[in-house]
Amino acid sequence: MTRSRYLAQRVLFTVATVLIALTVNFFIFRAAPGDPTTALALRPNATPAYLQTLRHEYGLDQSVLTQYLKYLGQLAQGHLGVSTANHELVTTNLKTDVLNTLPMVMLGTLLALLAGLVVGVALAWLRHTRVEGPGLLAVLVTYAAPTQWIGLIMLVLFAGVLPSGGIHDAFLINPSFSDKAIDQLRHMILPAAALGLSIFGQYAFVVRAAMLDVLGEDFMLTARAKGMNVRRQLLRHGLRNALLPIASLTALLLGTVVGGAILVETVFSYPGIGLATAQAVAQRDYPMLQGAFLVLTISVVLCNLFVDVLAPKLDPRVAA
Amino acid sequence: MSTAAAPPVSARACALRLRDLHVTFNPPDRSPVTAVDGVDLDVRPGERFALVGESGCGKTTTALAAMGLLPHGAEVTGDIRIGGHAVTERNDVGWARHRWTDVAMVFQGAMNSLNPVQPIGRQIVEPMRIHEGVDRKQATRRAHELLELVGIPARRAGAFPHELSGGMRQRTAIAMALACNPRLLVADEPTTALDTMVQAQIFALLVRLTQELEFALLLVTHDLPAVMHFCERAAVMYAGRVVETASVAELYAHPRHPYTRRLFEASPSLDRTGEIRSIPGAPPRLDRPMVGCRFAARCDRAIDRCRVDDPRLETVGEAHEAACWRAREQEPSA
Amino acid sequence: MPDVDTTAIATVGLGVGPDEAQDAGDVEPGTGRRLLSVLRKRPGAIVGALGLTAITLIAVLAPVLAPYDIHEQSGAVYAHPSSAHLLGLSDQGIDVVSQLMWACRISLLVGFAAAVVSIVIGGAVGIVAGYFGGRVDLVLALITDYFIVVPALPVLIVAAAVWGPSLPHIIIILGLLLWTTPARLIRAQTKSLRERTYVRRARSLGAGHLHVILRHVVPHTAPLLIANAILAVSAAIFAETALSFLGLGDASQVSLGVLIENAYNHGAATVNAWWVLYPPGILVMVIVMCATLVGLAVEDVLNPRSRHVPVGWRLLMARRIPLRGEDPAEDPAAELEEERG
Repeated sequence: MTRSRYLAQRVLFTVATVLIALTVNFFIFRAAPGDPTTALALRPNATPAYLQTLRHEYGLDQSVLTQYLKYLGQLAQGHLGVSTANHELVTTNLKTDVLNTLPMVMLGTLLALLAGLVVGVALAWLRHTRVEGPGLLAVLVTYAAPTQWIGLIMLVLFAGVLPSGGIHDAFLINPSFSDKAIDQLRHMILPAAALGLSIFGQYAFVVRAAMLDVLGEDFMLTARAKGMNVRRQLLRHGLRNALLPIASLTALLLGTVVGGAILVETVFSYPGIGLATAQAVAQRDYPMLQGAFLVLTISVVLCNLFVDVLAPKLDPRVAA
Repeated sequence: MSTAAAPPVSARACALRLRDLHVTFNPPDRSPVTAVDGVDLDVRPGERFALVGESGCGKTTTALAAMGLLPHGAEVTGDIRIGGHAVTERNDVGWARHRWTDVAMVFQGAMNSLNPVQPIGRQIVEPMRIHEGVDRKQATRRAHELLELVGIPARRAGAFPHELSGGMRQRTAIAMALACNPRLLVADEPTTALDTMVQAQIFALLVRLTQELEFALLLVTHDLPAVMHFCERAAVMYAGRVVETASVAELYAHPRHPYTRRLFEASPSLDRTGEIRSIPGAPPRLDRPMVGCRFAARCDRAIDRCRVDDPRLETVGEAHEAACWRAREQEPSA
Repeated sequence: MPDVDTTAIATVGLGVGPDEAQDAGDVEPGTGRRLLSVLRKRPGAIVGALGLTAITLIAVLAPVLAPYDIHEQSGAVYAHPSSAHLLGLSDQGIDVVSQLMWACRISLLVGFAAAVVSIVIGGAVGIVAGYFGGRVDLVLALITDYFIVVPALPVLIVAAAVWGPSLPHIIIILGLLLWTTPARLIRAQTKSLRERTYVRRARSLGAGHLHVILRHVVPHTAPLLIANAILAVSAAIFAETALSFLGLGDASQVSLGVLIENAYNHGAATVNAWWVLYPPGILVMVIVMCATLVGLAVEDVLNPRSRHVPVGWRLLMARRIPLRGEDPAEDPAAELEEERG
């Protein structure tokens, strides 16, 4: 398979997945039992006339196919509807949320990935030693703890030390840029740490598994025979060869990162897309929920595409 | 085929000298396996020496032990001298001083012994940078020379292993092994998985290189015809022991150990009797204590003593040693 | 020309390296004996199995064992642990030990039921795809792929929010998200079994498809299914706690997830009631750990070639990750590719 053909295949797969996601996103909200307008009305005793207006307003009096095509058309123009909770455009809401979430999630993922790399490589290297059992057990503990519970414990432990909710201190008076940045970072630390800790375990296992696989390869014996030190053997030859499986699995794990972000943001009241999702559920704000779901799904799919595109760089045997 | 009987060499001058080498593996939940059980070996500077035997006889283990490459947990005892220096510090740090600068290795199956994500040029450059501290430019120039030397155009230095044929990969592995001018090159079954034509080319290349660059070659193989054609001396291994050592001409003409004789008979192109006979029976299990000669159970010339007393290597001719109670007797007429 | 898919690089499970996998491959069939040999070689698996058994027993016997009624106040709100109440009382003055026992019951019920649903769906899809192959296989593979890429928790949230949060709904949705890995494993097994001669012989003798499948494929895949079910149970329990935390659990049932949610929302942290804060999370952790230890150990031995990373189970996803050197024919897309030449 040539490289261009490989890339074309991956892009095609991504497009197909996005299309499925769009369709699912449309229909899943119409699979609700009963009339969706009762949910939209947000009041139990709405008059039939009001319901009729709502139905018309949301286009629910048209056929499903018309609605579906209209939905696709609107999506193409970047319309995700209007939030029923705060009557802002869903896109406007989501933009703020995503911008809040991204740095926090990236910080958490980065921490988890770094820790996972170090611990994973170490555990693979220390296989069949006395450190292995306790090490694996420790990783398994973080892996098995529910994310929201990790957050809860951190909340208890660090409540006085670090800000435990929100994204900035509302009482800062005329903060300088650096004060503001430090304040935001401080608000980010707990949610990022909780998220990082909750996903660290799986990264460590992924790295260890990929490394164990590589360490058994003949070229690792060559590396040893060449007389290089252990660090160089492990990193330049071992880890370098394990990068592709690590990267593909990391991309796949983004689904759990997304799930973790929803929980962590809820625990720490961090106003990102996760909290927005949780609140949309609580407020029955379907347009918002639909938009958030779409953004989350598509970003995971796109990240997977990114790794697929990156893959030939990580391992030239891909698409050679 | 060389017929020159090499003069005896002092321990100091040997490219590789093993004395009473024992290697024991301790697999979990199983009894220990003594894969190498008291091997003595001398590889002289610049000579092409072969280590021959059936698979599982301990020849690869011996070769790996000579570079300290056995898995952690393998118990290695005995005296190992490389280029006259005894290797006393048997850990990765101690071995790192000898690896690639004194002894380099070409592994079985070139398919997997090269790093798949590194261009071949870089893999040749790497040991030079580690051991000799040459700058990248110089190292790259030398890598290109080495590639040309083994018959790969230098412009292919940027290629990845999977872009090369099996033969090219093994040539790359050889070029890589020669990067730091080792005194000894250990080649473990360097031609498995290659077709016959390519096998011959690789052997010819190795011979040419030993002559041009004057390093010693320790060839580990079960390919007897190749040994006869390309090597000067050989040691025959059986069940973790060396049972016979001599120049290849002497071995071929006057094998003193019945196992050596049977090996030749089992080899189609070398057999003189005209009928190819495989050796009946199987080698003994190495995880059990053994009494007497290890070959006795399969030997058609075994006498009572063979089943009780363990024969050790003894000089039976000029630069010819064998471990057989009946080695000094006349050969049976074939 | 090697054709390495992005995912076509081997990954190994929690406990196996190449050496052990080889050992496992040597083990003769005979499921019972194999399972025993697993347990003997892995102390972790024994501990996990004992732990799971104990917790399951406690959950089953909760009506008998629970010292107090969990619907009635039996003391002061947030009363400290005492000899009468080993883990104190909750925000409503309910005995925490009793609450935990009943919550285990609900959580395990969700876990086991979701696992059953996932195996029924996955088993059906896997057997159909593996046995009939071809285009059916390809379509099913594409659907599986979508389910694997899509982030699980948002799907769960949306489905629970739209469909209404009730225990049966949650079970079905969890099962719908968990079926991909069983489907993949069973597909591979079915495929290899189909190739074996005795199945072919049975077919040529006029046995119907269903008979062939039931007679030969199901018994052979059962051990793997069990291993997967154990992992699926823990995954479902894990996911249920997340849903409950977001207020999407069944309000009428107290599960471990609901207990964590209560601890968060009813101020257990403020009064520093550790006996309310820690136990439910620790219990979930113990269940997931035990299940992971057992499930992976069993799977390693039964199916050394399809070792997969346990991450997949954490929040209900696992992708097709063929092992290096795995038969490319295992991949329906690759197969089609070959047919086209």
